[in-house]
Amino acid sequence: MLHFVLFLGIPVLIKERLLRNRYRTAADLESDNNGALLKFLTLPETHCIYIAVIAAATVSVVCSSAWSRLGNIAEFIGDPRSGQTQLCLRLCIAAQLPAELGGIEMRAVYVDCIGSFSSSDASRAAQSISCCCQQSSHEQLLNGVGVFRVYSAHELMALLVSFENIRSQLNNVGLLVINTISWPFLASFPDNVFRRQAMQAEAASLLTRIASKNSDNSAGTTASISLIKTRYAARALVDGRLPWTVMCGAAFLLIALHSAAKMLVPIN
Amino acid sequence: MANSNDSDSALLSKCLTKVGCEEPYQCMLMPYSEFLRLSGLDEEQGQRIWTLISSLTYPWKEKYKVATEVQNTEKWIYTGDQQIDKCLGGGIRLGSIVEVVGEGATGKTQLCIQLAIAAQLPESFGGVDGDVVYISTEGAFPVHRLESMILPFVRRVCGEQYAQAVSIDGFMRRIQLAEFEDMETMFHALDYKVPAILSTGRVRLVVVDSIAAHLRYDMDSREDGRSGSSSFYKERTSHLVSMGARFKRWADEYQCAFICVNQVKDIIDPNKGNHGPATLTRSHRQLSSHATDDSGQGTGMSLLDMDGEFAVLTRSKKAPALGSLWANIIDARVMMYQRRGLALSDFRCPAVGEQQQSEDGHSSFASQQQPPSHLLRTRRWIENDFSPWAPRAQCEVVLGDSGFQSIHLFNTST
Repeated sequence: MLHFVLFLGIPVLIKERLLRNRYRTAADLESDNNGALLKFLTLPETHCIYIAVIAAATVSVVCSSAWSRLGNIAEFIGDPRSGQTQLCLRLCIAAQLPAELGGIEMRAVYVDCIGSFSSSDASRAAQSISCCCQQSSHEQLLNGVGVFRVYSAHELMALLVSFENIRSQLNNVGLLVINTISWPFLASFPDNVFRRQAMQAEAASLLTRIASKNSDNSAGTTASISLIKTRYAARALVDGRLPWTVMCGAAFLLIALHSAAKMLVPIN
Repeated sequence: MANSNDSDSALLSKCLTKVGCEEPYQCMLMPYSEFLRLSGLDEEQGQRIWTLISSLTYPWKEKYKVATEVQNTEKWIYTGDQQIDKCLGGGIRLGSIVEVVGEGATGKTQLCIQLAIAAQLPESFGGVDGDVVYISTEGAFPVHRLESMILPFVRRVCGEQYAQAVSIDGFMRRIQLAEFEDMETMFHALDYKVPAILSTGRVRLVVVDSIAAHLRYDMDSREDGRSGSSSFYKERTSHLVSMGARFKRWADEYQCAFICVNQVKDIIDPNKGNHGPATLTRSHRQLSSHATDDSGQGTGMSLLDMDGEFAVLTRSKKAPALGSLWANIIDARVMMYQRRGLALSDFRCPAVGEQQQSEDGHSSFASQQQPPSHLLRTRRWIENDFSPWAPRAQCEVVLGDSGFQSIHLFNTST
């Protein structure tokens, strides 16, 4: 599994220097010896990189699914403070990057169900990523993220039903992030577990349809991400690369990655 | 085109009647297959009407924004102290729900009162020039404390000249206070009165002190004896979710901050029993007795470093009440700690003349030392436990006439 330098948990300045010297992935670092790195990095900085690569490798060991193609759905689950929202913001920015930097060169749509979207957080993410990417400024990266705010299940369902129309009019949408998919249904059906589950299954079905309908369309493919915060799970499913693998429906596959989500949070 | 729109509208009205919904959005709360079955439409008509309902329910073109346009005011209610603001990541952000949690008498209400005053200050002094709604559920609101804090706080933050022109009455009038003795009354106010006040657009801060009172005690004392049963937790979940949904919508629509004061609960370890607050004191003693001086001899007491203090606090067997569901609803959590000053008798200080056995078996006299002052006085801390806009940090504070002021800030982010 590739671990892009851009997504390693190391300071931005070090990332910049590595990318300038054509170290794009962790594999490039491993194949080189310390002597070459020391030409533009100090010894403590090389240690920092070493630790970050180990952390990224741990993530990939725990992730058992293959991340291969567009048209897939993934789910992030975690406790409060484990960094799901931050991760989603960075993914929305990173989706616009070229393929050699781990992106898909497409726009992202962020559906905010809990008031989690913060322009300052998105701006910070865009700034930290844009300084490593010569092609796009951070304003351009921000303009590539569309935001919808929904408050209830019926609004979310209406948005998903309209998504094909949205995608065709917005052009080049490659990533859909929903943060979080569980809250609108919980808020609309706090007492009725059966109705809540039925509607969640309906939403999962819509997401599958969106993803599979677009996966064969080379002109505009969509990789979908849904994020769910539940109180039961202290796990997250994460990778440093787009797109992600398939999981959907009412029965979600959980992979224990709580601590790994924390590792990936300090991307700055 | 106009004819097809009219026919679709007519068909929609018929569908709503058949399905049993008064408004189009209610159809979105059922699966599409159920809608088709109840409406009796064929697939083509069903798709057309379903698309029409979705566009009426959520007109996405009006709601769409790019990240740069998002109307995040990014305004903050500052606490009046730069270090505390830094600890909290800038203060209390408008549009967010912040929980303030701590044991009894840690200063949660004091902090809320301080923020209620700060919110009314003009923007040039770090306020947001807004009104405040204060919902009190735990007894009488401390009006006298509010009165006594206004001038000192304004003087400290804005200066003497501004403070002289300030009217205490003016500040008090901008705080809408509501005291609720029970849950039903509170929910009634949340259904009708609070939205009406918020719709004026002047409110920038809503304080609920506390959110847990009626959800724990009011429900515990039910006459039907249902407390502790699964139906109790189900009902409580329903109330929490309902309040959380309302607060989120209001915070976003009216760009105001919600501060919800929460209580703590004991964590019972079945193997070790409930240590309770005594754990805090015992840990202090253990740390004290193990300390040594420069020669390696045990002194019986020692200066605790800051890290030692912080470690003690986190070992306390308390957790915020209301569970992880509420933790997922809020945006940020602020924890408040207090450690009361220890008495002199708490220190194992050998009396003058008392002999002490040293390691080599010879006896020696231990000199009596004065315990460090920071262990004798009451100490308080405010901690940013989690928030999306700031790393974890803790700030030691002192409570005075003008509210909380910081002493020391240290970052504990990992």
